[in-house]
Amino acid sequence: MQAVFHNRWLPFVLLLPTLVVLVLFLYYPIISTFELSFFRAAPNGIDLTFVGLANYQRLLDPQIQQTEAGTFVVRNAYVLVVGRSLLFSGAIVIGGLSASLGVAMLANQNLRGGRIYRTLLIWPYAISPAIIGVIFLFMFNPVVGVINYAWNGIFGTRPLWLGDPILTPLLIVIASIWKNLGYNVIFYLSGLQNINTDLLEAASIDGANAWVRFRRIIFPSLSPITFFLLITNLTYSFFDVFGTIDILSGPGPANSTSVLIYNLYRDLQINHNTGMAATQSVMLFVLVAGITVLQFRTTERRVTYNA
Amino acid sequence: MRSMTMRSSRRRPKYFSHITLIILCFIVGFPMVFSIIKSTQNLGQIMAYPPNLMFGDRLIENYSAAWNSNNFVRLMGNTILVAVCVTLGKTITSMLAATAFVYFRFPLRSFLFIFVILTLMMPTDILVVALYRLMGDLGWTNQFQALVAPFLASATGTLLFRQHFMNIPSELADAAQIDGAGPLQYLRNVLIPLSWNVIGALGMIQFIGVWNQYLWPLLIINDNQRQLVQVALKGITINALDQGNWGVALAAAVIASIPPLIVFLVLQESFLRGFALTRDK
Amino acid sequence: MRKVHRSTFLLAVALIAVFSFASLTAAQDAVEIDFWHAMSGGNGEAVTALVADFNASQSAIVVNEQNKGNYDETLNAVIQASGQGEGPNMAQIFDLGTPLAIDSGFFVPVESVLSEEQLEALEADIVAPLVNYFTINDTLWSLPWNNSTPILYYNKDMYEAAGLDPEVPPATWQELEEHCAVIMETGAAPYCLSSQIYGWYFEQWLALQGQELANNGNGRADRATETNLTSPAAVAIMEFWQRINDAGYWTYTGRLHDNQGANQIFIAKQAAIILESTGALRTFTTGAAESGFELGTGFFPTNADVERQGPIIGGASLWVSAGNTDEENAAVAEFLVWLEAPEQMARWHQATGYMPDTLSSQELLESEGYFEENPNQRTAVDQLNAAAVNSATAGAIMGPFPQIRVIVEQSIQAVVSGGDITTVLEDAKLQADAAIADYNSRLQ
Repeated sequence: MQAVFHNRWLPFVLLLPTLVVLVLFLYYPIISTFELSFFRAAPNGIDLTFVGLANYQRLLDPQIQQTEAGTFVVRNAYVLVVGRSLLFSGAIVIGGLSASLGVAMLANQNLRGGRIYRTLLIWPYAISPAIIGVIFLFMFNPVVGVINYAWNGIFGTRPLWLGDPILTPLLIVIASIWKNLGYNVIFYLSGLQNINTDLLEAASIDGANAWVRFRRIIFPSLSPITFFLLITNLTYSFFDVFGTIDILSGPGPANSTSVLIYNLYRDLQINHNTGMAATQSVMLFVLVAGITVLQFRTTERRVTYNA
Repeated sequence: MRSMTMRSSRRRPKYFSHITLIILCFIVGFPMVFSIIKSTQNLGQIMAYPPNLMFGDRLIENYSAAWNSNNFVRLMGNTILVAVCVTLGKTITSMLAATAFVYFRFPLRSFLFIFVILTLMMPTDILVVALYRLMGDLGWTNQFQALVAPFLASATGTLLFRQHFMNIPSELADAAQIDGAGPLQYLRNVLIPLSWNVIGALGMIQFIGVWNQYLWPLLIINDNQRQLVQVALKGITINALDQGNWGVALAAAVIASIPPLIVFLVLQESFLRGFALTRDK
Repeated sequence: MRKVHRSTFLLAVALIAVFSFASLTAAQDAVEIDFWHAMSGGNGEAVTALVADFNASQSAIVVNEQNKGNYDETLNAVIQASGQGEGPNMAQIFDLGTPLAIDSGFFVPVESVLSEEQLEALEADIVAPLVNYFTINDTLWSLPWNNSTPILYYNKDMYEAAGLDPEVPPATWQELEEHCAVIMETGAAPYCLSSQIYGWYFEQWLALQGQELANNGNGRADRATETNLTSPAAVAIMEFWQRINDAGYWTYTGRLHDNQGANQIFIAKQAAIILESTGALRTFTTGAAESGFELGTGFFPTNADVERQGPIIGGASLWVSAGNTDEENAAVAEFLVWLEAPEQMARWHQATGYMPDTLSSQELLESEGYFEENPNQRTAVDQLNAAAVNSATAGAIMGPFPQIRVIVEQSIQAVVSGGDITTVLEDAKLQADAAIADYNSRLQ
């Protein structure tokens, strides 16, 4: 339990700037976006007709059909998209956090040239997502790209990275992890700096090996940062993957990379179907907010503070 | 200044770490290195198969063309200004908010915390339409404020500082109270000095976040003189694909990645501050 | 560290003063016209130069041009701003945005702001297939400005290596397949054809076979309610694609609509032929010179079993805002007429590679010996001028066209991945028709 200062009005003063900005520039637009989910928008996306819950009905209608064999199947594509998004998100969050923790631990050692390593590992994060997509397309061209040139030299095949219903989502996950690596590494590096070195030295003297020290001291000390990264990577994996998907694969072969945010953006910016886009925004908000609240309820209990 | 080291690795030779790191840097940094090499080539060399990974002879032409196109320098200046303002603003507001959440007990505390965190679940890109209307009502279309004000608070920053503050031993706050220090003195004299590495990390990320903004400035700014650099950069890229100016597009991308890199190099100092407590012992 | 932060802050304040309050220059008494467009990079610089010349040429009108991103983004920006009464006086909108622009209510037909003489002169001067495209329900809605069609590019060196006549590109699918067989057998190239999966090509091939994509006269006589995606012409296209795929003649990158990847394959000399827009001519001319091969061009090949009709034009046109005052409309009209004048149109073509849209600009270029120096540019102009003028070659007008194009591209991918043509096309038609029904139901 943290120590507490006693002051009736000061906490509100401290919160005021944040609350004013969030209410005015985030909550107000969020609420007006959510309002749109009860309307059908004209093709220009601006003129509205009230339709109540019709948009939700359309999105969630299971469209149960009977197959020739007599069984019933759910033909609602949205369910599929939700499932696919959850899979993507899980892979990106778990893969991304483990990869970046490993990289950060390596880069944090007192090595000659440590700064150069850290800089090189983080620099790619500074490149704009749009450019990164173009470079990836260029490298992953199956016929003349540098990746397949090397791959063909080693394995003797030329995978169709962007046209295969299994390889393409895999590539999207890898690209998304790669793109966010710098972000995670920066925060893990700052977290590693906060670890009390006396504890580690004491453990070393007591004969604890590297794994034990990691399990008992480093990982618990990092858990507040890990929890922070868990939340931010979760939103990244649901929302910010759009740029990567849009440039690298679009809907993907057999819709294999068509995730919630992709469909939402298409409806919003290409189809100007603002009502349906708003409905999907609400659904996505509820889904991600639900997962986050769940994380606070369950995972945060296991976060060790003040290690 | 001391940072955590893996003492047992003194038995394992250091070159093992070096080799692993070099391989990692190669994998992670390859697209970057690839772009730098390609930005010095002509179209024939860029497109060549087998891939040509030697530096070409168009370094000066490509980089000067990028530097001189589309107001590039001016837009970089605009972007640095906006990024610095937003980064400073966000850092300050979120540090204050986190102080309130960690060191005070007040009515609606949990509710307000969730209220702040939920804003993470709605990316600005989805809200642009509504935000655009709001800017119109405020008369901020095409104004500097429109690029700064909406981004002056940060749920990410608040959560980060909260996590960090909660990890700072509570004895420090107890000691401060016994010494008669108020919360603001505690913030200034204890929390901030203990947070430089977190501030550095957050500053870096926020700076890059603003630096790479695209959709919002494109929509809200109607004057080439006030636009931000990514808008021009994406334009150069799209156009390069149509006109074969690949080298120029990549050169522009490399130039545009340098200011965030400089910010990182400067802030890296603060990363290395480590746990100031053990240092002062 | 704190000192550093303080000084950065002071620097920031100083920069605010320098940058953000620089005042805009505004001429007194002149009519100001805001013009938003989707041209960026080198093309954007060409617009900037043209507009600067127009502004310098007279003092009554000042045009302020502004790039608003790519086509989709520009259309979005125009609609958002117009919805708040802050839109531009004129805008450049891409071909597929035509129905949305009309249905949005934010634009008036361009013919309504032109005088009768201006309209007549323009309609006579602009190449017929272009007028055809932008005339919907007998109304000329917008003025074509930057347009292109797809053509065939080929590597003459590879043709020579294969023992084929390097001056005779394939004019039909059937000839293409014959040439491919020779090229592959002789090993003159690793692949014969590099082509992106692009819905635009499918649309071209429908038009080249004289088939409408949508009902009700391609959505031009009345609102489209249904697509013709299961028509024999559509089946023929899919069969062609399946044949060249199964024979190993054709290669692509896996990504739909990946022109960049397809171009890379062609410039890297891994394919003898590529299908691409006329807009890519400059890339290929530079690329061929720098990778060391001779470039040839030909008409977009089509089905030899049907008489050649198309192609459809693509690209964008200039639209006039419905919120203009009469004075602004007159100024917009003057600017539009100036842009279409032969000198400007010829210069625009030379700077950007878009088609010279008017007969007068083509004549001007011809008289300057331009086509003799650039024979590949002539291919594009000849192909456009030769197009038949009917509702099939005019191209379809369907609200959700961008969506339908993606549906078609996914279908092509399904077919080359082994899908059954009939099933795939029936499914595509189902999806496309549903998109149209949804769009139509949203009309007020």
